[in-house]
Amino acid sequence: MKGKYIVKRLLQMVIVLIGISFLTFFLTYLAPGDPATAMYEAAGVTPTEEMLENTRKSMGLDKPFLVQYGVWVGKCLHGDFGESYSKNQPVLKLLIEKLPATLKLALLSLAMMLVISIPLGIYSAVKQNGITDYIIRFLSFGGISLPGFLVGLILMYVFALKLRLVKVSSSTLGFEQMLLPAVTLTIAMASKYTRQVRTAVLDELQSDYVIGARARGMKFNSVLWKHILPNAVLPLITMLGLSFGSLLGGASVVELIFSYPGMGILAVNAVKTRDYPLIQGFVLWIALIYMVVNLVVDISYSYVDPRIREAG
Amino acid sequence: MKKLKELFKKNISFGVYTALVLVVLLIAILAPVLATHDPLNAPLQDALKPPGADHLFGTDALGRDIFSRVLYGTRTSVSGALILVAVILVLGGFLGLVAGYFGGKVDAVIMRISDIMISFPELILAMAIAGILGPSLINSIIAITAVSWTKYARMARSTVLKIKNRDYIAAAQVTGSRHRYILYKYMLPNALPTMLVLAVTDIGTMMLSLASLSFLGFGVQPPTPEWGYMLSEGRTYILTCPWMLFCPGAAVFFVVVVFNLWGDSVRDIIDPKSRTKKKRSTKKMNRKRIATACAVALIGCLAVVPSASAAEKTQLNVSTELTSATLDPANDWDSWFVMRWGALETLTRYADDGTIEPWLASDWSVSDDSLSWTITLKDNVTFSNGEKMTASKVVESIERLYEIQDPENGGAGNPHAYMTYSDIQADDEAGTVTIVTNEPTVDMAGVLAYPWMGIIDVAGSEGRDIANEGPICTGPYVFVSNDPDHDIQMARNENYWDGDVPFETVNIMKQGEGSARAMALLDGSADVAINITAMDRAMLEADDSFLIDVTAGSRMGNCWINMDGVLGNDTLRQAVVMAIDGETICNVSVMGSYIWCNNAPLPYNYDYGFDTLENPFSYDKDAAIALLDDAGIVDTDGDGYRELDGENIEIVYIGSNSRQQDVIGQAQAAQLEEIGLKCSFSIPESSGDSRTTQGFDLIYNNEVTTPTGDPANYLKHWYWDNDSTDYNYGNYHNDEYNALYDQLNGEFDTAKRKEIFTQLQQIILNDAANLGYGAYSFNICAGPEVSGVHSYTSDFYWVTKDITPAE
Repeated sequence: MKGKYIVKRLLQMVIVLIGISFLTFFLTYLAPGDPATAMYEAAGVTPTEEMLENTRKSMGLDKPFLVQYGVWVGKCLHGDFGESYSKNQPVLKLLIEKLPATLKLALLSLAMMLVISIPLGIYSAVKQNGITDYIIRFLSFGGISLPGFLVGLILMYVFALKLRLVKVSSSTLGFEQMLLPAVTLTIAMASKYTRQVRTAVLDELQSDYVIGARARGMKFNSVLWKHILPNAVLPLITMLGLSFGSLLGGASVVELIFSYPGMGILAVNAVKTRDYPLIQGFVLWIALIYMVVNLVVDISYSYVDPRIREAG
Repeated sequence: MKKLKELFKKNISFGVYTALVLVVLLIAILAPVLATHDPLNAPLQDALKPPGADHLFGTDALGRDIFSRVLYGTRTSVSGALILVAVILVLGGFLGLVAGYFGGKVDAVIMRISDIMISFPELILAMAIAGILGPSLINSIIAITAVSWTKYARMARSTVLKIKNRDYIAAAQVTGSRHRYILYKYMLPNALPTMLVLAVTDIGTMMLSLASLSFLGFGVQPPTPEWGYMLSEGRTYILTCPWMLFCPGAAVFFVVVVFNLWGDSVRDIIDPKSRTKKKRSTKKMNRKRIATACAVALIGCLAVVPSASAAEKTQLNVSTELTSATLDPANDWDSWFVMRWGALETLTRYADDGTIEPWLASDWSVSDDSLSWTITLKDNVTFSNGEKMTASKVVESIERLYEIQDPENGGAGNPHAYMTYSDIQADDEAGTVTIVTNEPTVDMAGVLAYPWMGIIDVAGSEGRDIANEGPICTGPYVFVSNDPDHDIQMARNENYWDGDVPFETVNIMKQGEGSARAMALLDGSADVAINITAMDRAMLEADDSFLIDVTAGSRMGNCWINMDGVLGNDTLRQAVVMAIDGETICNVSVMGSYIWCNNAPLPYNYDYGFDTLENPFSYDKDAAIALLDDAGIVDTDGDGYRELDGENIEIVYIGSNSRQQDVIGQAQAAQLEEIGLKCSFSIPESSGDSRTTQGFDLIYNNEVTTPTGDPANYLKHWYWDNDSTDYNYGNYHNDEYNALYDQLNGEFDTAKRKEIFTQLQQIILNDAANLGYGAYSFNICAGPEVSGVHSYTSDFYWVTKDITPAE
């Protein structure tokens, strides 16, 4: 059963990947300006008409759209995502280079988020309508309403500029340089998750089995830790997969503010310089990672959750 | 009505939040009434005022009132978010209903597309779409719609699936109702409430998405007031004018909170399941465990690693905005950086007063026929690999450049513009290089000092990936690694020919934001920062331990004026030039980052007769207005803008983000508006297209005017109108200018050249053919741990052997 499920998911992934590749290729095809000019422009060169003509031919731009797409996909399958216009380097190399920094930041902020939001969420639910609950709800509500760039700038202003506690600028990727970007990402996520955990725990608290267990005289703490928590926290795994995926690609704003050398900055610069091969490669790459992560999450989920396990 | 009253009474919070939402909407609607100033009006003398009685939230770099801009920003943000949510609701709802109702292939196609969209991080795709379509509010709405409709489609579809097989639907179908009717009459009303709730709770999120996109520069374009963009503008001024950040920031926060609260209260009413339930008594939890968990969380949050202070200074840390994509000096622009990082050296070099000094060469002379130059090399120069720099190696290096850049080899640049040689010979015995030119090359010594002519060991660099690893050169530092988006690592050249190299390693950090560089100096992570804005310099100046070396070099900012467009009209062009208060823009708006040269094409501090120039079209707003009025260029159709021969005038102004040219461009555009000329300022992703396709009236330019110690090449920009390879973008034409320019050819007499340069400048001024920004003042700043930092007027020498650890 399990094997079948995975095969089915993998097939779905392939279809989605084909869709995404087609979409990105089509979008860049539609984009104003011609890629040959864009290439020279990104390299800072003013080309002559003849150079353009030659480049167009060598890039295969004179061929019909579907042929161009086919050629491009074929190359991608061989790991050749093309050459970045603005950096004159293979797209794949650039993407792989930037991955570790982004990965580190994503993992650090996810870890910080979990450490904060799970205890706070539980506490807030257990002490529902108490003063702590209100404070936590108030803060988490503020957290989801704050734009990431504002949080980042405020943190930078206060901790790096006024108090001079943290150095944000360094070329080595130490914990210190990652701290403020990670905290920025954590604040928004932790707010969301705290609310999520709180709602989940509240739901469980009111479910019949908890009332039953309490009626049988089980201690509240043991009900909480043994029954409520596993049930309340499990659904978070799926959310975690999604968050992880968007952290891998979507931390552009934060990376930009702190000049953090990850994939986000690469993407922003690629879009700004109209580096089409890099944009295409980036989009595909992110989609792939995102889907793999979510597949792993779903599969692991089915191992963890007995209901799914038994249903097969 | 009574029902409504009851609703509010029962749900006090809903009532309160609705009131708040109404307040926000009212602010948006009444922005023109509430605003104390015109949000677009840019009185420069008021720039960067802190909050006070005149300006509640202070002013920005152009003197615009931030309070009024924040108020107007409400319009942009609220209407943007509402339109966005409405579009998504309609599109997602429609697709969902159709997919669910018709099923089969329609369903499969729509749902597969939705799968694609949902398996994707939102901002990335939105960014890609906005980037490809071009930045604008509409495009960012399209982009976010493309990634957000799926949620709504799924919701609508599931509702339809639930009721599709009910009897009354079947009955309707049997009685011959049309699909459209069934969808509209039965499906829609069932799906709508839940979708509306989703839409209402989404408004805040959508507002944040829009603001994020425009913060990144992919959304609303200036000068439209929008919070995200205002914040990104304010980022430059974070050190000195934090109100530029916090006022729009607080506004976003407030409005998003209001809409989120309102959304939640609406959901609570319509969807009672999610309503907070009555308090249940629970036993006290194990406090200890919770406390431990919280403590862990806090430690995780607050842990700050103390910075290790190095005992001995062995690494030089440099913070820079600009880096080059490759390290190959055969690429014109890249060669600058190979030199700036202390790797590449040239035969000669520029002194600060514009004269030429020996460097790798000790002497040079020209033959009597002015065609043959003999350059004598220093005999103690070695490359970083220990090889001696012989005459043949110098020849190989220069030949490599010309070979790579030869258009026949696919080369794009053209070193021939600097000098064209017919023969180049090495005499290794005598240590001389002889260059025979086709035409007298007056500025040969200066040409050899240009970074492009930097000397590398061609044979020794074989097998190296020069673009990424760098060539073998003679400078004090060698490349270790190159990541132009992040950092460049250099190490000491152990074989350096000219004395000791002070640092073991040099770490060059790319920090795009001016404030980031100032910050790096302040927090000690950088010893040297290249180009810090005047604003941030003021902050450093307060502390004696920082060295700030400012120089106005020969880099000039200006606008090309398109003579083939509407500004080909002499009167109009003269009025445009007269309407710009360049001096105030230089001194106030960009706080001295440019030094006003009264529209002269060449810098004031070089010896090209600046003092003798007369600008007949100096700043005089009233005269500009009078000039236009007298010429009949007036507003005839009452739209507030002048027309030329009955045609609407719209001056298309293409600007740039770098070197604060955005601030200057916007200030100039605002001043043109003041005399009734419509001017649309925009910053494209790349200016190349607009230059060549003539899609502009004014287009920014920022250029070193005397790269070889001589401005002749730069002045060609107003001259060469027949050759497509050169740069007369504005198609300026003046026979007198051309004739005079031709006299420069072969003129070795510096006094005579100076006279010609002066006259050429005067002609350009008389024709109002240049819209100047001023001479760019650049700077190098240094922290207390290093000494010997100097900002050279040529802007080519940044990391040098003279920078040493402080005593």
